[in-house]
Parts: sequence; C-alpha cells; structure tokens
Amino acid sequence: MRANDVRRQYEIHTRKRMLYFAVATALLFVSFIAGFGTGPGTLSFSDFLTVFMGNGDELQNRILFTIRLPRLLAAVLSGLALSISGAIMQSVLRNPLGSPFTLGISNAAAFGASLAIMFPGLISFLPSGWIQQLAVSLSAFAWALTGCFFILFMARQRGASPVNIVLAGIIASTLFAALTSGLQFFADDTRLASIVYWTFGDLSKGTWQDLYIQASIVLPVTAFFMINARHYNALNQGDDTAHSLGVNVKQLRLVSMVLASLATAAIVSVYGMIAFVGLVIPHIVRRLIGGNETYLIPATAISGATFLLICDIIARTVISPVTLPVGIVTSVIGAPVFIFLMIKTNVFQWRS
Amino acid sequence: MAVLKLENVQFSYVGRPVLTGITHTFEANTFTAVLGTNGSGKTTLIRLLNRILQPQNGHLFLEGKNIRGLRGKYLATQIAYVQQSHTPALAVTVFDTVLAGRNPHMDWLPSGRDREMVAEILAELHLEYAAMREINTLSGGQQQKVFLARALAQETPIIILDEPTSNLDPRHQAETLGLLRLLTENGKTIIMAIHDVNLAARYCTHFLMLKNGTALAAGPVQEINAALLEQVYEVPVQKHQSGERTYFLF
Amino acid sequence: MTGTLFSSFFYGIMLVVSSCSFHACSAIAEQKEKPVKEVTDALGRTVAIPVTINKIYPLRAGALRLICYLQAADKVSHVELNEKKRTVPYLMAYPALRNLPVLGVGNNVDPEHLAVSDVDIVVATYMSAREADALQHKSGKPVFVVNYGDLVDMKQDFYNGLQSLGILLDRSERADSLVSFIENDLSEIQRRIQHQNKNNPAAYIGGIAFNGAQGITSSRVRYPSFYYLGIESPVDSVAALQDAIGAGQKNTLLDAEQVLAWDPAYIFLDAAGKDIWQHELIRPAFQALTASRKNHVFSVLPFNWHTINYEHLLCNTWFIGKIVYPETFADVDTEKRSAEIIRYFYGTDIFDEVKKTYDPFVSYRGEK
Repeated sequence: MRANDVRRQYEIHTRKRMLYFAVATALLFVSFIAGFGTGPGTLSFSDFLTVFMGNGDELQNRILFTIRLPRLLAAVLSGLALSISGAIMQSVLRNPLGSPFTLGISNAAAFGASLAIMFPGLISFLPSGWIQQLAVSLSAFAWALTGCFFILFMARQRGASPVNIVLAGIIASTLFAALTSGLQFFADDTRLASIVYWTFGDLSKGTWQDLYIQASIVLPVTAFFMINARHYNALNQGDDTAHSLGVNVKQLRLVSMVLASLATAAIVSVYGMIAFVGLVIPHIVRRLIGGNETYLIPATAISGATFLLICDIIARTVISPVTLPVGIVTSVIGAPVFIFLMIKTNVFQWRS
Repeated sequence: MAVLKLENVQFSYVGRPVLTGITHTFEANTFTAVLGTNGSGKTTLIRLLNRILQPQNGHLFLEGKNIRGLRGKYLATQIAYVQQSHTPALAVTVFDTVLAGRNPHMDWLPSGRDREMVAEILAELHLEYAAMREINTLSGGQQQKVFLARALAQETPIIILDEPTSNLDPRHQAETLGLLRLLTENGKTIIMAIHDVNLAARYCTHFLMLKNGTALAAGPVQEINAALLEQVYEVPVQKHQSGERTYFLF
Repeated sequence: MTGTLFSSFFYGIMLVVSSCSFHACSAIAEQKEKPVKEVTDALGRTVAIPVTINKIYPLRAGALRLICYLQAADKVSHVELNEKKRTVPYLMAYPALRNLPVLGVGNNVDPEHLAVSDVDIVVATYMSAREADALQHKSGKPVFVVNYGDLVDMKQDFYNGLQSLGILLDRSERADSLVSFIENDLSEIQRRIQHQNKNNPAAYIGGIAFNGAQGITSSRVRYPSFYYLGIESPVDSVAALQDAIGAGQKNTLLDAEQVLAWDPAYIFLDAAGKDIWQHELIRPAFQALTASRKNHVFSVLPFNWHTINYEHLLCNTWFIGKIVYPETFADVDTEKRSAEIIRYFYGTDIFDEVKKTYDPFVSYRGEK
C-alpha cells in the first residue's frame, strides 16, 4: 500500500509541526514570564503572588500593571503583527523579501505619524487623549496605505520579481525616510525631541488604551489571515492556478496587503520602527516547518511574539540601568540571522 | 454531450485582437489538443476557458450555462487548470501542493478526507517517495506530475493544461500524455494547448487548430493532414506512416 | 542537518536569554507618603509635587543647566548617561554631577527605572504634554516641564522657567537675581549702542551646532548677540521663509554660495564647529571674503551645545560688541567680563577652563 507510505510520512511531518508549536508556545510562555521577572524593581515569586492576590503596595502594582504588563503585551502584539504582516506580504507578493520594513511601509507609517506629531494643529479640534492618539495612528495608516499601493502598483506594472519589489521598496523607504528627516529639519526643538524619541522603536511607550486600539486592529486582521490560509496556499501555486482553485486573486492580494499595512501602522504609530521582525521570523519558521500557510501563519505569530519578547528582555538588561530601544536589538540580531539565511538557503533563487 | 461550448468568442489585448471569433464545442470524454503557431492565441483561449480572462464578445457555456454567471467556487469544482511550468515561489512540499487542489472543496482547514485523497493520488501517480519533499527539489518532469496530481485532487470533470510537455524529455512527455489519455478514458474531459503536432496526433482524441485568432479546423486527430499543417505553419510538411502511427515531418 | 543546527542555535539564544530572568530579590524601597502640593508647569499641567524636593532628575537638553544656574546642583540625584561625557561649563563647575547614578541615555528614560528610583521629581525640557503625562502616569513620579526658551523671541519662557524652578527648588531669590543680572547686562549693552549712528554693519554667525557640530554654513536666524547689538544679519532674511512654511526651527543650514554672496563685514564662528570650519576657512573662496581679508573672522563661545548656553551668549555679545563697535566698548575687557559672567552663572571661577576648551575670541585668518 503505497498510500500508507504517504500517510506515514505525513504523520511524521505533522508531528514535527506540532512539536514546533509545542516548543514555540512553551517558549512564548517562558519568555513572557521571564519578561515579567526582568527589571530594576526585582520582585520575588512570593511578591508576585502577593501582587496578583491584590495585596501589593503601590509601587509593586505600578511596576507590574502600569509598566511591565503593557510592555509585555506590546511586545507580544507587535511581534505578532509585524511577523505575520511580513509572512503575508511574502506570500501575496510571492516574494521572499517582503516585509513591512523592506517594502517601505514602516517608513511610510512613521512619516504619517511624524506628520501628525509635527502639525498637531491639524488634529487639535479632536478631544484630547486617545482620540488624538487615534488620529496619529490614522495618519500613519493613511501613509502606510500610500506605500502599500505604490508597491502593488509597481508589482502590477513590472511584475513582482524579488528585484522589482526590492527596488520599489528601497525607493519607498528612502523617500519616506527623507520626508521624515525633512519634517525633523524644520521641527522646533520640542517637536524634534518628540519625533526623535518616537522614531526609535521602544515598547515602553504604550498605554493600555494604545493596546486596546492595537488589539482591536491586529487580532481581527490575524483572524482574517488565518481564515484565508488555504487561499494563500492556493495563491502560492501561481495566480492563474489560484484563480482556477476558486480564489479571487486580485481582491485577496489587495485586501491582504491593506490589512497587513494596517496592522503595521497600528504598531509603528505607537512604538516607532522595529525592523527585521517581519522579514526574519517568517523565513525561520518557513525553514523549520515548511511553507503551508495553515501552519505558517499561527507559527509565525507565536514565534514573532516570542522573538520580540526576548529582544525586549535583552534591550532592558544588556546595558542596564540604561534601556536600549528594542528596534536596535531586533536589527542587531535580525541582520546576521538574515545573512545566515541568505547564505544557507536559496532565498534569492525563489522565482515569482 | 457538449461540455464546453464557445460561441463567437472574441478577445483583444488593448486594441490588439488575439481571438477574432471562435466557435467550437469541446465534447465530454474527449482529449483535445489546441494547436497553432506561436501567438495564434492558444494560451489566451485556455485562459478564457478558465474565466481568468473574459471575452469582449461572444459567450462560453459550461454544460449549457454561461460561465460568466457561475460562482468562482463552483467553477473551481468543474474545471482544473495546470499553468505552464510554474514553480512555487516559496518552499512548499509535494503533499501540500496537491492538497492545494482541494481548496474548492474545503470550508477552512483540510479534512481527513482531503488528506486521504491526496495520499491516494500521490500513490497512484507513484509520487509517494517525494510526498514530503519540497517541490522545488524535483525535476521538471516530476513537478509536472505533481501539478497534474493537484488537478486530480480538485476532482473536476474538466482539466485544462497549458503546454504540459514543453520542458519535458521524451520519456516524461510520453508518461504525462499517456496518463492524460488514460484519464480521458476514465471519464475526464481534457483540453491541452500543445506545440508538438505529432504528440497531439498520438495521444489526443481531438484537435482544434488556431490560425490568426480563428478556429481553422477541428475534429478527431485522424483528420490532421499535411495540407492543413502546411497552411498553418507555412512550411513544407511530409506525412510518414509507420505501422499504425502517423508522423508529420516539418 | 543545517536545519537542526540552525534551530538549536535559535533556541540556544532564546534559552540563554530567558534564563536571565528572576534576579535575586531585593526589597523595593518603601515609598513613604510625603506631603504634596499642586503646581502648574509651563504647559499648564497641574502637577502634584512633594513639598520638600531633594532628589531631582533633569531630563532632556538643558534641564540640568537650568538647575545649575539656580545653584541647586546638589539636589540632582540622577543624570542622563550622555552627561557623563559631555563638555559643557555646567559640568566644569559641578564635575561631581558626572558621578551620579544614570537614568536613561538622553532624551528618554525607561519608566520602570524611574519608578523604582528615589527621585522626587522629574524636571523636563522640550517635552510635549502627552509625553509628560505618559511618563508621569507610568513612573508615578511628578514630571514638571519648563520651556527652555531663548534670549530673543522666547526670553520670557526662559525667565518663567527659571522662576518656576526657583519656586519649586526654593531658589526664588537666585532666580530673580539671575533674571535681573541678564536684564541689566542686556540693557547695558543696548544703552551703549543707543547712540551708535554709524550705519549698521552686517555680520554673519556660522558653525552653530545643529544635530551635532556643523561648519560655516550652519547659522541661526535672530542670533541673540546680533539682535541686542543692532547688527544686521543677512541670515534673518531666511526667517520670513521659515515663518511662511510654519517651520519652528531657528537653526538653518545655508548654501555656501549664499554666504559668499552676502560677503558680510564680520564673520563670527561658533567654537562648537571649530573642527569643521577651520578646514573650510582655508578654501580660496572663503579666503577671498572681505571679512577674511580684513581679519574680521573670530571664534566665539558655543551657543547651541546641548541647547542654548545663556552664559556664553552674554559673553559673546560683549565680545562681538567690542569688535564691531570698538569705540563704544573701548573700556570693556572682554575676557574679564566673560569671567565675571560665568562666575555669576555658576558661582565658581571656571573661565580659564572654558577658555582652554573652546579657545574663543580669537581672530582666524584661515592660515595653517
């Protein structure tokens, strides 16, 4: 029975995938707890119990619930959003170099947010507080969409080959980075400090309100990607084949890119630039468990969250008492990992 | 029984007419070769049959129903398509490639039945040794077989292929076309764009000859003759008979 | 094979990192309830601050300088990392500040480190209300924002900053005395030039730091020394353009050709950019300038180094006055006056060190 042979191979393969999920999920929990236990205001295990029973003192409560928990959730949400955005962009553009950062969408979002910070007059009619924060996010999203449509336009005009997409991404990110510098050049010193402070990817900036807004964007977007996982698998067979498999190719590509840009903008507009997560994590996961999107998307989400949690722990401990912006850590770790992947795998040999 | 019917189908790319009015009927349980010179509109016709393109004029009917009005998911259960030599961009295993063919039958995640079917098809096509290998690591001939397996997993009465043999060595050409012929005998309707007239004459049951965007001739492959080929390809053609087999020398 | 290697490498990193979690526990300093009072900061925020403030954390550019001006450096408990290696007069006057514990690199701070510190209050400059509210909310420390101001358009901001900090730090008298010292100095300068009827000379200020040291072409609209000396600055023509596009930035980077075209009678170069402009000066184009030929190129003390050095600005004004109006300022010994000013601002005699560091008030011919 040769079919049995296939079944056996498939089971082994599935077991490998499940093992990955088990390990990745365990690591997510371990790093989340490690993140909870890391920081200058060290707390013992019994202190934790006291605080969670509601008997902590003011400072303990503040550290755990106002500082650390939002920060950890920010890491989880950002890691998840950036890495699955990268995975989806790679998939729908059928391009190994797709990621919010390489396609210039992070930079576009950063420009949008800088613009709103630079000209608060434009949004000053709004009630203060989280609605203004929302306006910053909306500006970030609007410009992220601009970047996204530029990439889609270029992909349509010249084909989505790695070279074309990378060139378009370089153009977009350079342009938006230049526009952001332009804003900085003219900003008065207070706004300059705000923009510079904000451009560094730093997870300590977010509040609970930011997290609610982000979660209400990122989680539905993730659900959409998960629901359409089989269509991404079909898309990977080629546009025409995907079409004949019942997938509305143009619509799926457009909606996916827009949603991935939206998720990216939701993160970038609050925490600033966090590079390499969206590029490297999907590649690592794909290498470990294969390219089936049904597994790839959730595995990428878990691994991305774990990666950013770990990077954040490093950022907080490596030169303590000074905390590095986490964007520096992700780049310093991400760049060599990507180079390793480039050398060890055929990243650049993939055809479109 | 008429499965796919074209009525005066016209198509042009931004002002450049490709098909100027094709009327043709593909019958059930036939294996039709769509023949013609480069640029005669073979691939365009194939993509029209699949509704990847929509004709500017004329109609296509699937079992009497205009395909323009059919739901994409329904169409995907009727017509499978194997595009010309396409290697997936991102690493995917052979199993997952074939499983993608089950897409129109899935609601979300593949069911046990979907996986069972993939296992059986892979075994039937003698691909079990490669089931968990990445498709990029296979040879062109093996890949073509995997794509055919994907089309079979789609469980459609009709399979359309664009130049399935273009990159294959003679052994794999024979293997692939023999398999397609076998499928026709088992009830499938197959439409295939192909360059090689001799392969078409040997394996197909019917042919459709395109020239300058029109259907110049159609019928059972036995009706292909040297005069027709000379008219289409504009080169001298000789006919050779060897036993029961007919060859055309260009 | 490589796959396994790679995954073990990846997980290796993860495990190493996650194992450095729970540090040995140390009891968190008990936060005693201190009496508080409510004050309003420069942004109109109401901030509840302890009645007695003994531990200040100055955040962002210039905050520490203002505190030093008020002679309250002894109340500073933490500094930004960047202060450790900065060359500025306030650290020459109070070198012990460099030895204080560090919070943040500069510009921003991890709220958790701030929360667990014994800081009573954060004094911040160049901060928006949203940032200040966020930091205060997270760290639980009052964040008091002052506008750093300047000496021309935003002079009142600067004075308000000094005076509000004076009240906060129990240094009101000192704040008032500083304000009147500056006011007296400026009016003395203005009194001297009042009857100057010779047509206003044109002068150019270059080498102003802007995101780090810059060369000759980095200038500033409404440079305070020029403003108070009635010196016409061709750069001020840029101000209209800046206002038109709504740019709040007063530092400006010019085209070298524009500087050559203006050909100002005097060129003053900010010592912060000396390493850059001393190489530019020897170029033939600059050598051909009227100011170069007439030996009217001078170095002045850094104006915008870690934002505005007000004490340097006053010294520069006396020096520039003496160069441009020699008769009016004939009785002034620039170095002596500068030493007095700096002594007044910091309460210590550090002018020799300032002079050694910046080599100001020197004529440059652009020769090697």
